[in-house]
Amino acid sequence: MSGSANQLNEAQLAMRLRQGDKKAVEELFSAYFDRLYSLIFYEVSGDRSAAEDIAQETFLSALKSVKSYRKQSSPYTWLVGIAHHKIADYYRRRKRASRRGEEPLPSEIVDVEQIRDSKTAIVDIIESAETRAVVEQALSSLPLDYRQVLLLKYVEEMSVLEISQIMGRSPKSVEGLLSRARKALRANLSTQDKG
Amino acid sequence: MVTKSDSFKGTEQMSINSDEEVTKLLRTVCRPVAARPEFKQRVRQSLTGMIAAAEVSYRPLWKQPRVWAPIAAVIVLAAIACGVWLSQMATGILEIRVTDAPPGRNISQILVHLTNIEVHKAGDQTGDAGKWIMVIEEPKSFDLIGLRGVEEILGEEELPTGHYTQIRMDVEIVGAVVDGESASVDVVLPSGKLKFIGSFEIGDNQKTVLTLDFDADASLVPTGEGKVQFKPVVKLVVSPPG
Repeated sequence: MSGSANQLNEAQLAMRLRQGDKKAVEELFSAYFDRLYSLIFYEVSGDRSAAEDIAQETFLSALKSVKSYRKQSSPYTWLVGIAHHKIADYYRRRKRASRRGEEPLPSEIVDVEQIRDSKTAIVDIIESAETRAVVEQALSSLPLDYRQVLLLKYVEEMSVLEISQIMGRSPKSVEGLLSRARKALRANLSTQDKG
Repeated sequence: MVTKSDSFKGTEQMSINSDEEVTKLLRTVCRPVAARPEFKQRVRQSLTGMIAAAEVSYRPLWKQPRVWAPIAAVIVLAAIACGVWLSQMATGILEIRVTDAPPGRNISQILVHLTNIEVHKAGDQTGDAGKWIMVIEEPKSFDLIGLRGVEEILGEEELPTGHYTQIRMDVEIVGAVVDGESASVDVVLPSGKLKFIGSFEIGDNQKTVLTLDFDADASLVPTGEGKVQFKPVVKLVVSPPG
C-alpha cells in the first residue's frame, strides 16, 4: 500500500462512502489511483491505452455509485471490484470486435499438461530484460481470471477472502483457481522455453 | 511477440512451486507502473468537476436556456441516430413489498431482519452476460404478523429494462412469539441466503411491483424445548410493468 494510503483512516473513509459522501471518492483517488492503475495495467497485459480508459471509468463509476459501497469490503477492494467489471466489459467488447474481424484476439490457450518440475532460483534469472519479457508474455497469455487471481494474490498480496469478495467466488473456489493459475503459468513458461 | 534467444535459457530452469517463489517472480516482473501525469491530472479534474457540479444548487432547467438548448438538441439528434441503442439503455422502476399470509397457529410475532435484496438480470442478445444487481442494501426489519392483510414497501430501485429471473436476499429472524411465549429461533438457510426463481420484466419507464408473500405458518417449524426453526416459505407475487 502506498504511503498516502497508509496515512488514510480507512475506517473513516469507508464510513463516509457508506453515507454516500462523494468527496470521499476524491480521497480514494489520492490514496489508491497509482496502485489501482498499475494493477489494471498488468491485468490488461500492458495495454496502456486500455489501462487508462479503465482506470478513468473505474473512478467515475465509483463516484456515481458511491451509495452502493458495502461495508463488507475495504474501499480499495471495492474499487478493484469495479475495475474488474470494467475489465470484463473491455474484453467482451474486444471479443465482439474480433468476431466482426476488426481486431485480433490475444491467445489464451494454455496447455496445463506441459509442466516441468525444475528447481533453480528465479530472481537471478529474471534480472535479464529478455527473460522478464518471457515471463510477461507467459502471464499475458493466461486467461483473464488466472491473471487476475495471480496478481491479486502475489503482487497485491490480498487474502483469499478479499479476492473472493472481488471476484464474487467462494474462498474455496479462489484457492482452486489459484492452484490452476500457478500450473498454467508454469506451463506457459515451459511452452515458451520450448518455442 | 517474444522470440527465443540465448538469454532465454534460464526459463527452462525456473521453478515456481511455492507461494514464495511465485511472489518473487511476479513482484519482480510486475513492478509498479505509473500513469502519465497529464492523464492522472485529467481524471482528477473530471472527478473534481463532477463533485462540484453535484453540489451546485439546483435551478430549474427551463430557466437556463443556455443549458437546456444544446442538451435538447443533443438528445433529439441522439434519439434519431441511436434509437435502438437508447432502447437498450432504458430503465424502469422495481418496487419490492412484503406481506404475510394469516398463520394457522397462535403466532403473535415474527420479527424478520433482511440485510439486502438482489435481483438477477438475464443475459440478452446484445451479448451482455447476466448479472446480479443490488436493489436494497439498507437493512430492513419488520414484524410479519403485523403485516397480515397489508403490504409494506421495502424499497424501490431504478433498473435497466429487461428480463429478470432470480431474486435473493440475506435474511435472518431475530425473534418470534409462539403460543404466548418467546421462542428461540434458528434460521435454516443452507447458504445464508434466501434465493428463489421468479421471472419478471422491467419495462421502459414503467413500474414493476414484486411482493414477497411470507407464509408465516409454514415458515416456522417447532423442534421441541421451546425452539423453533425458521425455514422461510415465500411466494413471489409479480405485478407486471404498468
